[in-house]
Amino acid sequence: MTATNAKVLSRYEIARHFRRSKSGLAGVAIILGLIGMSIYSTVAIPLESYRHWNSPNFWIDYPRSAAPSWVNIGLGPKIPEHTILHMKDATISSIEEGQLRAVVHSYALNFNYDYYPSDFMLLYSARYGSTQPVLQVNVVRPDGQDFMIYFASLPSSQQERNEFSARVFSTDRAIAENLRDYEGIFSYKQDSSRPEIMIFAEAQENKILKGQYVIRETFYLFDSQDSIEDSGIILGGKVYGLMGTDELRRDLAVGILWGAPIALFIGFTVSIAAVLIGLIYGVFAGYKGKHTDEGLMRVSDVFYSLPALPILIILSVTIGRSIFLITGFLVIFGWVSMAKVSRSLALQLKNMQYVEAAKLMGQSDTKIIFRHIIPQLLPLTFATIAIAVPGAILGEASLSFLGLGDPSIPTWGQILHDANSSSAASRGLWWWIAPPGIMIAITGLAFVLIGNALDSILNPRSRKI
Amino acid sequence: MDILLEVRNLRKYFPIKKSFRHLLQRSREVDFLKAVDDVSFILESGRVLVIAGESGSGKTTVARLVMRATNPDKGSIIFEGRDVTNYTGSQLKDFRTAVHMVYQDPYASLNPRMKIMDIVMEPLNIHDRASSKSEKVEKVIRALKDVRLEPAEEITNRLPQMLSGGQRQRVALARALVLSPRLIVADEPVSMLDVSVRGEILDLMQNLKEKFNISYIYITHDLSTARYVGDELAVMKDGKIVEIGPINRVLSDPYHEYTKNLINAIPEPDI
Repeated sequence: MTATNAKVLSRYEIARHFRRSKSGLAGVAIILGLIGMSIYSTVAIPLESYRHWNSPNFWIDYPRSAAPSWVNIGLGPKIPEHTILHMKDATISSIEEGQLRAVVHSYALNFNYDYYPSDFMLLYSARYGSTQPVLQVNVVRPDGQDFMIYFASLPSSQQERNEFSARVFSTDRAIAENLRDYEGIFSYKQDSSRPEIMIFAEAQENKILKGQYVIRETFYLFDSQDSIEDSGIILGGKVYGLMGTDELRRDLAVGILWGAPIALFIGFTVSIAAVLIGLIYGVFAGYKGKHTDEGLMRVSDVFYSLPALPILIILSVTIGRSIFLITGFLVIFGWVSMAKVSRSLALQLKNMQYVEAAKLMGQSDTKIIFRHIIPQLLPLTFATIAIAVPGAILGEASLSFLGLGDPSIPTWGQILHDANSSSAASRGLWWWIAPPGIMIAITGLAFVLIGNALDSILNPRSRKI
Repeated sequence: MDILLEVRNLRKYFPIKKSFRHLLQRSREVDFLKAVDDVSFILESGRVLVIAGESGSGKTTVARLVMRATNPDKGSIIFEGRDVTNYTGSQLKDFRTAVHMVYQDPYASLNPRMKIMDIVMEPLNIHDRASSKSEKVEKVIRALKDVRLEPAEEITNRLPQMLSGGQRQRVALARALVLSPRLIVADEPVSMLDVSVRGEILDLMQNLKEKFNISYIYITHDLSTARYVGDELAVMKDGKIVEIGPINRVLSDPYHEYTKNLINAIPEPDI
């Protein structure tokens, strides 16, 4: 009778057609990948890292604007990788002589790079009372030289038996002073005030000494109740991790990974809510007809004619920027097109004989809408939801890019905004710009592929011949 | 015989939509299509009234008026002694338990996404609040057996597209029957079916009439099936009943020219 009735496809038929569509399957594969990323990021990456996204202290151990570590693959000069070692990476031994104990944490470090490290840090965390332990740090170089670079007692504790954590920077004056004793080893002028170069330089020639270094942190404890809670060493490099870091030392891999569940959340929530609201609104208008229809459609015209982005900007500036508010704002502008489509289909469907039959057996309008009309529109609804997801993700990304997104969580748009405000593009920090951009594009593409595949199955007019 | 339904001076005009040019040229005059114009008839309980006529004669509009699908411009519908013309709300809902409709196209009158069980149970879910779920299931199966759909239990799980046209029309009849109505309005119930199953459906309707004391308004353009089921015959043309009477009298001795033309149009088998 009408176009909508011409082809009623069962769920199984739709699934069968969908399996034949290569682009649809590609879209599903991408989305499964994104869901995998989401699960990985919630399970493997501690929740803290995303909560502390904006707290500089959390990222203090990380390098500033480091490139991804895989840039070292290939023939070019090797850039030193930022290395963070903690107690669990050390070989621990301890010697006891009466009351005195010496706890040795030794770290083995392979240094085979073509540039000097930018700096280094020694970390410790100890629990002690009134008798301060003494820390001694030695570096055993690949050429057999043993540099004692640090020998000092830990700061005196004010309270009774407290855990005390601190770090010794490579710029510490004590290190420079200790290193002055070793300047004679070098056959050329070596500057002890730049320990990160002196320690890693060859004795005969002014070049880098490659090979295995052993850094030994020895703690001398004078009380049997004192203990070492943690130690560590950070070697400052210019490359780090899978995705590098940004200007504020944040690990971009964490941001990109956490962006996936957030983007999927925004995309799905906005599109499902908007499409369902539009569906019910449109079907109600179309089914009721007459003045109801006229009134509802004029209201939707108002929403249709509002310029979305300027108003979104105003809303997020005046009302708030939390991710849930932004989701709501995006829904406000997302439901109108579905309302128009479903209204026109409801106009056709309400003249179907089974709808009139239901009306004449006394069925209520609400039940007719939900039992007889909306089920016919469900396939269309799913296709529209899939197609609406990228719009929602892009909407959030553009708001975030303009600096109006939720600042407390890492979204891809937020990362792009940070990159832009640090002028990452002109400084050549490509790893800060490309991954979030690519992720937004891929996610959008996946949903468009699925939506188009569903649309061509469900909408006979656009089906390929 | 007691009177089940009486229709008095029923009138329904549809305004004809005019083009924009018409609107400019002429003033506010509105043209009407006289779909139903001063129609009156009486239907006695347990009898079958056939309304015959060419397409556009207004017979389906009469059916829709009797069903209270649209409101008449004038006239009244009296069902079991009560004027139902202006019923609304719960009164109208009560009226809907007693009167049901069977449509011409069994492919369009059943929701393609609902199982037969849900289709036939829908009227029960609306009106029969007293029965439990299992009692309703039982009633559905009994109705399907009444219309001779076997095996009824298995058919309840099917979708309409798994049934033939004749079977679908039986489902539509079962849906009309399940609330034990007093009047079924059948709008050309067999004209879309194969000739081979028409007789079965008409037989079934006859049986149900005798078994449950149901009255029918049977709408058709085909006088050959009218004779088979009907007691009374009303012939309609351009919204008016031109001739009404006992079916055998009208068919054997028509006095209106139009009735004669219709009778002559019945194809006679050449043997």
